Amino acid sequence: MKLAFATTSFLAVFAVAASTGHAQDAPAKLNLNDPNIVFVEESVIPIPLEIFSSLDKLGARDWSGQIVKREVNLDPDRSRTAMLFGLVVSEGFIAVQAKDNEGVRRIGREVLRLAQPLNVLDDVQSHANAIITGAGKDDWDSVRGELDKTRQTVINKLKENRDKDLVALVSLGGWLGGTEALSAVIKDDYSPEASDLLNQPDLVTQLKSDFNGLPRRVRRGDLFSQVLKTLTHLEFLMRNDASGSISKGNVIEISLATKNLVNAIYGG
Amino acid sequence: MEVRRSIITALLAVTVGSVVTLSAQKKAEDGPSAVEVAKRAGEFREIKQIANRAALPSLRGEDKFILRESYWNGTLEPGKAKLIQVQLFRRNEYKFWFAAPERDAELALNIYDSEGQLLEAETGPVQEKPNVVTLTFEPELTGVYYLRIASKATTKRPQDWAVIYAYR
Repeated sequence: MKLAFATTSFLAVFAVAASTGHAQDAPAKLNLNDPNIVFVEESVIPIPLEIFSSLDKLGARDWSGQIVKREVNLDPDRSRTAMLFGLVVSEGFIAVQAKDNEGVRRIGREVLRLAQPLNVLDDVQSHANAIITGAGKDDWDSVRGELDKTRQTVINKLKENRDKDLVALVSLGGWLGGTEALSAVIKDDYSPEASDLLNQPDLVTQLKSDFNGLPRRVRRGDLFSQVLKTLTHLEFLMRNDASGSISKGNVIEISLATKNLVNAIYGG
Repeated sequence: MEVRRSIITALLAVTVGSVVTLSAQKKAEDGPSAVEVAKRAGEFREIKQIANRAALPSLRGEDKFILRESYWNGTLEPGKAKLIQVQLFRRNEYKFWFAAPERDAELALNIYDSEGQLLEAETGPVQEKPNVVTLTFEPELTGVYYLRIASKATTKRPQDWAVIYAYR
């Protein structure tokens, strides 16, 4: 193993290496606005449990209060179904955090219902069954793993089925559901230290950019106007202040904005 | 009669040519076929498996890392670098594995903050697996970071790659 250190002394030399995109040794400083830098386009969105893992290090929280039993009403709009799929999986993660067996089993069944119109039923069947079985045995590690596999399998299959436009919407739904729960929990027991987990403006910018990159036909209608409006609002609210935290007022607004959007997606 | 036959032949040639051109254009516009996409995805999943196998020891025990199913992949030209944007959360510890199929790929993995400053992190090849490099990092702040992946210029050909990560 070797340690990589930020060395400012060779800054100029390394900056040139970075701008031409050559590997060499790692440059001490990158100009992220350099047009020659190549960014990997693929976005990986954090799952709720990854964020909750950090929050729990500050003390136990009541996650059971974050499980809201909303009815899933399907319609022919597959874009909405994709967002619902992401939302339902994120609720599964929240149910795992709350160790809610019945909640997880219900999510497993909803996953199967939503997979059908997305043409991925055969691919997620085994994962959904494993979620239901794992919840029955209180095997939370297994349920967590199967939920993440379900999400990733659906994303892979949508790409393979040339339904790539729906991938961004599954990711968006998943992020939204996790953020709704996270902001509600932080709001109920506010501390500046915990609030920094909502410092995600660049991630929101990325989600917004992915959303805006979708063809108009998959984001047509009032619901999708609300998605864009909410993301723009969140982009502003999720910027931390000089102390590195998000104010309680902004946390309340984030909680409200995400809740309203989640309700609108479920509302159909 | 001969003139008419020539005209018909010429017209046929133009028509066939146009159809071939249009069909090629259509294929280009449509992108790769579903079969091609699935085949390529399968190749990348195999590289992900190389990273997954290297990660196994870190995923066991009392203080184990939790592996995400999501991953990044692509192709890297010899001597070139790419940046991956990733949102990380304070108080978590992260571990990344960067893998390529060839043992002489000479990979490098580093992490930068949102201002582009290189950060201190434990990084290096996985023991006995020179085609997998790992990096362990504990962010001091919640926010966006950039992973820089690179392969040495001495590598003979472009490398397909995959990056996976875990947290605890």
